Amino acid sequence: MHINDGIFNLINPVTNGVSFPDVAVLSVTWAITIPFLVFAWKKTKSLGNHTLTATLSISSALVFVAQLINFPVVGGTTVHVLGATLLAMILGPFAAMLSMTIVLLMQAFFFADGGLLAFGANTLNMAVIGGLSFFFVKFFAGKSVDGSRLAISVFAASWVASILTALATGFEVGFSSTFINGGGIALTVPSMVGIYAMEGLVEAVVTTALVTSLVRLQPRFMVGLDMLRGGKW
Amino acid sequence: MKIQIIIVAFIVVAFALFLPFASKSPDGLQKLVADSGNQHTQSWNGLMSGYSVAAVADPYVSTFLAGLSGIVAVMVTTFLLGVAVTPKKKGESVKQI
Repeated sequence: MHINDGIFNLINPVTNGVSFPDVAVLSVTWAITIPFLVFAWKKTKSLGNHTLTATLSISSALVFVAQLINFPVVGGTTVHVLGATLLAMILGPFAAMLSMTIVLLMQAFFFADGGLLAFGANTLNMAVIGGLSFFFVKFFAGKSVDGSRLAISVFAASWVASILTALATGFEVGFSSTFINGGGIALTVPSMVGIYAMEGLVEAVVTTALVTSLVRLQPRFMVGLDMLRGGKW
Repeated sequence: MKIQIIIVAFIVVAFALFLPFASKSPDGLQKLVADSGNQHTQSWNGLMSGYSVAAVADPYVSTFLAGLSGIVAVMVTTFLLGVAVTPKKKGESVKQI
């Protein structure tokens, strides 16, 4: 799911001129991502939650590890769990965006897993859309945030978030110089959505199992759950 | 604090156990790029490219050490982020659970 540098190029390697489609996609994704991150920072700071630091650190590490384990799907490809809805349920939508952004930054900087140039796009796809999946849970759960209704809502939100992440990635790379003359979005969007529709089911099962376990065992750590139940935003 | 240490230990052990089963095949996007016939050149290869430590020959140990470094890097950075977004009460340091 991580877009690596090389898919987007500022300079077209063939013409040696500026690669306008890539510059456009990168600019748009940064332009959307930065205001979300600034807003997320302000909202997280305004929470005034004195217990957030350790939870933020541990849940981010958990998601980092979850993203390291690739599992095979049909067609000789692999996928990994994103963990975005899990973060959103533990930390709330805004701290989840910041947490996932740090995970993506570490992956890009230390391991070149996701490009530095494409960092804005990856952050939009996984951190912003992932954080917003909290609102899918809120939408599906309505005023009832307990028991099976919560589990079904988390399952649905995780799956929808995976599909939307794949959809966004498909659109972005479809407009890149790598694909724009080789199938474009007609190739990339169905391919990405098809793969991540399957991954989304695994994502949904894992996220639902972890969230329902945490709700039962350690609900005091769950800022997102508290928000769903009418706590401070 | 004890519960946090247990959870971190659980994460590291789970990582060590699941690592041998992680697939090395390309992910969906990488395969899409490969199938399109396009060259895919990285401008930045990272400090531990491909989740491996160059100085360690054993692939399992190499990936485990790289992953462990990543876990530490993520935990330290997000901890600092947490400190930055947590307001300090007057006259006391940041309270941790």
